[in-house]
Amino acid sequence: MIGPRRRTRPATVLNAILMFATTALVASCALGSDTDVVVVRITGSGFDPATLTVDPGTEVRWSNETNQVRTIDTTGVTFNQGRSLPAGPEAFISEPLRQGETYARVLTSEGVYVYTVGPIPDEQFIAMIEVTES
Amino acid sequence: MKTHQPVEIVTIGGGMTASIFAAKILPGTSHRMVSIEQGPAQWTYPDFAHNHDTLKYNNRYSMMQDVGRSTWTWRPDAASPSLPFRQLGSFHPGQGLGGAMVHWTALLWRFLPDDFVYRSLNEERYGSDRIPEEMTSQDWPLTYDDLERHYDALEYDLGASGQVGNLGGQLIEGGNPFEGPRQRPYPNPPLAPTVYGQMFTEATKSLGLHPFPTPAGILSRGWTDPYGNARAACIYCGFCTRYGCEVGAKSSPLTTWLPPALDTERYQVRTNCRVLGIETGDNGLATGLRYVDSRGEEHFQPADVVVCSAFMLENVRSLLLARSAAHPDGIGNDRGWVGRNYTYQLNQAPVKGLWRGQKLHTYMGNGCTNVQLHDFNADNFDHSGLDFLGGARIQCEGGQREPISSADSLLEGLTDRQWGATWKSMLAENWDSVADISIEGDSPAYAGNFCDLDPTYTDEWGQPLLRITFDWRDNERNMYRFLAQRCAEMMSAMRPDQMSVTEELEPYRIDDYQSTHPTGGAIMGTDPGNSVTNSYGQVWDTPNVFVTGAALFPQNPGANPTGTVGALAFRSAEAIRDRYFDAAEELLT
Repeated sequence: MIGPRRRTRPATVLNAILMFATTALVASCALGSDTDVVVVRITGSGFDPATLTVDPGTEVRWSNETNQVRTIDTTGVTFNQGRSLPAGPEAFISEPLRQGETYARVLTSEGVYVYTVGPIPDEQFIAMIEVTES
Repeated sequence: MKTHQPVEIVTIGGGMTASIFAAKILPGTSHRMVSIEQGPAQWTYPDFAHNHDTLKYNNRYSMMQDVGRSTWTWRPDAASPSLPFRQLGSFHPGQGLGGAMVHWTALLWRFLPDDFVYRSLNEERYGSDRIPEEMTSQDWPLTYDDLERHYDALEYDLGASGQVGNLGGQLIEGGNPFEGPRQRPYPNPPLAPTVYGQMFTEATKSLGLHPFPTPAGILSRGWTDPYGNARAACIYCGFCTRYGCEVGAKSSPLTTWLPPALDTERYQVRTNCRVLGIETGDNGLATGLRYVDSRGEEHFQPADVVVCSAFMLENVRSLLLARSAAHPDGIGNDRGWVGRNYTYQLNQAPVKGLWRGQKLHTYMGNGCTNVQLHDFNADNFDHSGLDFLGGARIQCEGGQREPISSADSLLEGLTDRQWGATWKSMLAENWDSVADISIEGDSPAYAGNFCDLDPTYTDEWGQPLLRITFDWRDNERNMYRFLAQRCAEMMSAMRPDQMSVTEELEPYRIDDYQSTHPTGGAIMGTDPGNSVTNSYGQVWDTPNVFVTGAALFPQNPGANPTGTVGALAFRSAEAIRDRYFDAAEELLT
């Protein structure tokens, strides 16, 4: 069962703080207080962290800190030199994220996600999440 | 002799590792540092502007050490006489602010995880009697995992351009499948592909091999580094190796570490000054450096810590020359290890091809606009039925061919003579239609290859030159023969109209340029019984002396050394900054 996807759209700094607190609150209320949450930042030079290992059932939140609109793409992207990334156990493309917006997803299927950004895939935005029971 | 105010750190040489130490140690501490640099000051602007002067830089080695003033001697074995070489040949050690990294080719490698366990890995896989008796190669005192975060930090300081092959253990198509796991991709995408590179990629893929773009310390796009240095991308001018980069795209101390180091106002590089020796106190610790300035006047710079951060050969020589009552055979040499495990790099071009009528644009690009594969490097392939250990990285030619030196040997093997009317018209028609495949192989250590002080020859200041005793062994000859055949298969798959193969390795020559990768001579190890330094480059018998650079390598793997020189320097700088001065003059653990 895929968990709810949360999206924050802060219009002001104050709203951002409120939205972050609300998101955390809502997330913990909706998913139970024992769900682990991990944040992956989309920065100007790539994903941070670019390599991650999490337990199944962890909620991963991608936060776009850049001024370009990004999606998270785990469907198995092909770059323009004809080389491709493998699709993840759950192949998805997030909604477009503007600066300051967050996409959250609970990863339940075990396996390795090698993902990039959309709509234009970028070498600097290749990252890996391994979902495995620790 | 003028004695200066003491500082915490003084270094021999103002090159790559000196600038790394300065940039990493000085900010956030109150330490002061001085570097004594034999060459002149130089900066991207104005010194490298309009510097496309092939004769000056490529053929007359303007940025290299002047071997008329100080050189090295060489002999192939201990039974032969040694002679000094007065023209640069086999290697081109640099001089000047920023050192040899200013004019490097910029291939930026992480050594493979297997490279750090050469001896135990080969013993385990093939048995200890597969290791020649004379071979003294040994395991490093640290692993790839120990260095990974320093390789990462180095690549992000330099803005390295490349394609990730192993992301946290997950193989990524198009990168190097043999590389050690990295925590994140390169900071910049690969440099532009080339015609010849694409030919090589298609051909080697059809053979089931794994080509990937060269990882480079050259910016593929405009980029700002962690220190705030905003720099331009490479313009693929083709005047790269042996030149300073006129746009600052090729990373060096000038572009990266010197600006933040000098900003602290506690770092000083004294240029056109030549170190004469490391001075030693009665207690056996170093007290500082004695040097001579451009007017010939002598100086003494006292310091708490002395760093041998010059070119590998001069680092080994400085240790041997530092003879005192406490260290009669030189600093680091109490157990006779200085000079041992001297190694080089098996860098050869076994095959070349001619594609009539095809323009390869070999003059456009840089030394890293080419394609690599590691399928025949290290122990990436099974050596069970073979007569050698180790291997080489293999690459197709890059894009910095220039007319003067290339005319000399370009058509060797393709025409029956290198003179005359036919040769001239062939050269005119095909200069841009010929290209090679080359190997850069590992160089194991042997008891009979070593450095010591020459008994006969001295430099301009009357000090003995370093004597290099070195030649290839059967292992390297057999390795070359095997790799030449593999390169011939790759070249055949590229379907040239004509092909030339050099099947056998010639004896080592000091006058023939191969690569500027002499290594070893002050190797790191697990204890004083097998090395000169610990894993931080700290000299066992003189704990306030550190060695940096390729002199530390127990043997040389099949890849360029600079990436590992940098990662080791990052690790040592961190240890000195965070721990050394709290327990000064003690060995770091």
